[in-house]
Amino acid sequence: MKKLPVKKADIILAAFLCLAAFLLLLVGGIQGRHQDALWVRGYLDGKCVCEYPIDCDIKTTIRTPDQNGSNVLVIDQKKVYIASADCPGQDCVKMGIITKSGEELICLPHKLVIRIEGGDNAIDAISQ
Amino acid sequence: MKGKLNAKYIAECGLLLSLAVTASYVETLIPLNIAIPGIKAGIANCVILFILYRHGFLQAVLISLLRTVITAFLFSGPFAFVYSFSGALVSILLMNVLKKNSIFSIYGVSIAGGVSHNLTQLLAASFVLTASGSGIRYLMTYYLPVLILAGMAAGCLNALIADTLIKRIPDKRKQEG
Repeated sequence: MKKLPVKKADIILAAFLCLAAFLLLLVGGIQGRHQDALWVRGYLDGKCVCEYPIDCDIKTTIRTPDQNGSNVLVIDQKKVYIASADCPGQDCVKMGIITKSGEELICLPHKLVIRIEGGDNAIDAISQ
Repeated sequence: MKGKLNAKYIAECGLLLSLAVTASYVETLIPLNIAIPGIKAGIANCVILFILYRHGFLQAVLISLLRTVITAFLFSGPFAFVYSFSGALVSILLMNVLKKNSIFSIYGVSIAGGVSHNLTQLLAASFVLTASGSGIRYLMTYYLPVLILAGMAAGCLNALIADTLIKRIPDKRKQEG
């Protein structure tokens, strides 16, 4: 087999990237100890439709295409709640505020579930 | 010669495009992402790499971008399209710059392409999925190292394949004159 046509610059690039990855792993490892990131995910009919880190402050409207409905999701200082909705029962609004991992806000007529999830498998939803 | 829309050029593009799409399809059959979500070998990139070296920048860009459109319709869906389109665009531009620079061999070009593809996808993903910067920070520290290493490994593999292909497949156009 012939020698691979690798040049000096290739090796430098590879070494640099390895170093960068290693440093980032190190930084991540240090931060990871005291930062267990929580994510707020919205599921429509079982499918994940949106995802936000819990420490972002947002107000967003989640639309349900088949029922023509909408729920206004608010994340405000790590408190998650449905501010308003056009479903008949308004149960999701009445459920109030959730803050901990595993808690859910459910709007049955719209088949919408808002769930707070731990940072362990946050990557799964992103790669879908 | 370049950019001329004659029948041969179009046929060639179609052939190469179908090759790239097929490579993407083969990739969906390989369950690499069981271990780490989102990791792909990027086999299609070795087709793109081959095109970049053999047929030039214009054709490589064209096929790379069209490939993402087609694969989005066939396999992956609109969300993945945003990632793969931006990733493909940035990596092909970067690869072209590095190739022209000629201090890098095909391996360096491919590694840079693979890694930049991953980083752009990650950036695009964090812009699509999160409203604030905190999600980006999270992704950067936890997922970025994995993506850099995976991009390098995939880049080496693709360079090896593309390099072999370029050496073994005779350049018909050169022979013709």
